[in-house]
Amino acid sequence: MKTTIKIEANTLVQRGKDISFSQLDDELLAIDAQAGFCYSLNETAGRVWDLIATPISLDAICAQLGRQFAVDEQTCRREVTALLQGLCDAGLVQVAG
Amino acid sequence: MKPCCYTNADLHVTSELPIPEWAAFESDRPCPQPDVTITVESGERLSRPDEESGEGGPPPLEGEGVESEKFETRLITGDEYRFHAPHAGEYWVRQGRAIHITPAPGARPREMRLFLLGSAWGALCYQRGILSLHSSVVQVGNGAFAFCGETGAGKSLLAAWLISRGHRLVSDDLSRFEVLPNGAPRVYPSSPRLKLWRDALNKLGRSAAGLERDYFRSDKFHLPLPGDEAQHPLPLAGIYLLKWGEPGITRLTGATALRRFVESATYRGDLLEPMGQAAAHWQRCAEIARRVPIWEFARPRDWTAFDAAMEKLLKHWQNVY
Repeated sequence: MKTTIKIEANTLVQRGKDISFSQLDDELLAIDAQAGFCYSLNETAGRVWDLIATPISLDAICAQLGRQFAVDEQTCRREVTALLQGLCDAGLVQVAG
Repeated sequence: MKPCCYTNADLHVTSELPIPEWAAFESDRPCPQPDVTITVESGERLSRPDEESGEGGPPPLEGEGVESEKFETRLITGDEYRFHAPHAGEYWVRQGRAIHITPAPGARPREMRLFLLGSAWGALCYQRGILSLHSSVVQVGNGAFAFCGETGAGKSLLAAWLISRGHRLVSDDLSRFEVLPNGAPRVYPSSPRLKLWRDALNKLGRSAAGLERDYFRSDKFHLPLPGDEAQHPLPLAGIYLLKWGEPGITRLTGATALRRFVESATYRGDLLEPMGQAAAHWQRCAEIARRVPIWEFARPRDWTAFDAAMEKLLKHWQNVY
C-alpha cells in the first residue's frame, strides 16, 4: 500500500524492499515484481538509485550529485526532491527510520 | 501399472498416468532416477488413452479462465502447491520434484491430464525456476521465433498459417525458454498439437470432423500435425508480442519491452507472489529480453487482411534473420 510521505532535507531514503533492478538495452530498470510493473530510470535517476542502496538523506544525495555534476544546488535539490517523491509514491523507495 | 518414462527437455519424468501428449518424449528405457515423479492415488483402474473417444463425456465448460473459476486452491507456499480441480481431483505439487494426483470419483484420464499439464506442471516449473511461457513457437531456418499473447491473441492460428507454409511447429501454448551458461537463448519443443477455433480451421481449409475437442471450448479443436515437428531445442531468434490493430511490426526496448513481454507471456501469474517467485520470474524474463529482440506485431481482426499482415511478417524475417 502506498502512502504519501513528504520527503524533507533530513529524510533518510533507500531502495524499496523487494525492488530488483536490471539493465536492459540502454535502460536501467527498477522492477516491482509484486505490483507487476517496471520503471525505466534515466541517468540522474540511475545515479540517485546507486546512492540509495543504503539509507541516505536528501541533503547527502544533493551533496554527492553536486560534486559530480555541474548543477546549482537549488535546481539539484528541487529535482532530486521531485524524483524521490515520485519514486516513493510509486513504491520503489522507502523512507528509513 | 508400470509407470511411463518421458524426457521432457532436460527432465526425466516418470508418470503413473500415461501422457499421450508427450508421446514424442516417451522413452523405452526405464528411468531409475527421475527428476520428477507423477503418481496417482487410486485403487481404481484408470481407463487407457486409446479407450477414450474424441468426443463425449461431460460437456465442455464454457467461458474465459474457467480453470481458475472452478478451482479451489488448498495451499500455496514456495515449495508446495495443492489444488482441487473439478472432475479431475486433488493435485499436490511438491518441491519441483513430485506431482501427486488423487482422482475425483469417476475422473477420466483426459480431465486429469488437462490440469496436470496446465496448472500442476506450470507450478512445478516455477518451483524449479524454469521459465515456461504462453507462446507458440515456430522453426525458421535453424532457429525459432516465438509468438506470445494470452488466450485469444491468435498465436495458434498464426502458427497454423506458418505451418501451412512449410514451417515446423516447435511448441504451442506453453513453451519452455532458457538461457544457456554461454548466454545463448533457446526454446524447447513441446507436445505437437495446435488448438484452433472451428472457423480458424475452416479458413485454413480444414474440417473439424473427427478432431478432438478442447475441454473448455466446445468450438475449439486439437489439430494433430504432420509428425515432423521439432524434436530438439532451438536457438531463439526473436519474440513477437501479438496485438490486434493496424498491421505493423514495432521494435520494443527497455522497460516497455520487458513489461509487455511479461504481461503477454506469463502463465498463471497469480501463482508468482504466493510462491515467492515474482522477482525471479521478472529476472528470468529480463534475461531473455537482453538476448532476444522483442517486437510488437499488430494484425487486423479482419480476415481479408490477415494474409497481408502475415506476408509482412515473412518480409520482416528476411530482413532480420
